[in-house]
Amino acid sequence: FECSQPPTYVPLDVHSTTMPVERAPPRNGDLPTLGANEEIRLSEQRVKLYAGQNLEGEGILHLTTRQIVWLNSQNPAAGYAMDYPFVTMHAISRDKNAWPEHCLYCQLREEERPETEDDEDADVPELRFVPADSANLQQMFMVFSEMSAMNPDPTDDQADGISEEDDSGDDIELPFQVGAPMGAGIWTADHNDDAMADADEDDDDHGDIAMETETK
Amino acid sequence: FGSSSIPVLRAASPAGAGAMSTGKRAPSDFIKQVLGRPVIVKLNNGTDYRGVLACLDGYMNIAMEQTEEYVDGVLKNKYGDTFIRGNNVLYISAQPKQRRA
Repeated sequence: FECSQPPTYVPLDVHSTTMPVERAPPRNGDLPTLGANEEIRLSEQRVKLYAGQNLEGEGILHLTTRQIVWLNSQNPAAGYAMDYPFVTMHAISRDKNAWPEHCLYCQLREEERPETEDDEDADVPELRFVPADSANLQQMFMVFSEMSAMNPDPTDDQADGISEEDDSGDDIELPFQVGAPMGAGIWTADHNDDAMADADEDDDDHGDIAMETETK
Repeated sequence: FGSSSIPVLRAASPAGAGAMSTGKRAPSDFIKQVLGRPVIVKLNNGTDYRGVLACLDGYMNIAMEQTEEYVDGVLKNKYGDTFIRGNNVLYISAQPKQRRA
């Protein structure tokens, strides 16, 4: 595996547009078959997958630079694979009232598909990845977020300006300047203590923004 | 510090994105003010997410903490860390300062 090569933005393949969820993802044992320039960023063992209320089984969750692949450990022909744009939202769920086990909750894009699985909610398709080790949820969430940010929607106009060589995002024209999505160059509350200060309505008060004047 | 000198805005983030602050409000000013604050994120499908804004990128991908999900105004779910893909976001709004106990 060429881990040293930085991931590049590759247009989505056919499988993502015609069949958003691949139920029999190509695999090599416990590993997913990777495309060109695709690499695995996280693998989590012993992950149960619930589609809606249905337990699909226990398997291995792989987060690659291109897709989310869950490979059923009990059934070598079964699994779930989808592209990041298909997951509209993901979150760490620790609310026992919502779901008894700590899990990575994923909300899927609603597709107007003629074939709707009975096990999926009529409203919004949901997936829950329940790792045997819930302590890994944070890492799973973070890598998932990073990969999701790295895979913008291809139909998005903002994606037009992306350089295919790196994901630094410098070529993108945006209302505000940011660097690479989610990886670096974003504003986070942790790095912006001043942002946590009370915001004054007064434009003259720059107390919430770190500023330096050129003339000392 | 005279008002005639052009202040250099240094973002604390590694990108070091600079912007001239001439008093005009840019979207980036809003973002800076809501970081770490309670926000409401409205999706295209009408769902509301309320939580503390952790970070945001140029695609309006949103990361939040202590998130509550409201559907038709009814609290449906609670999550810890949440990530919402930007193409689903209709708007982000700061929550009103007075908390409703």
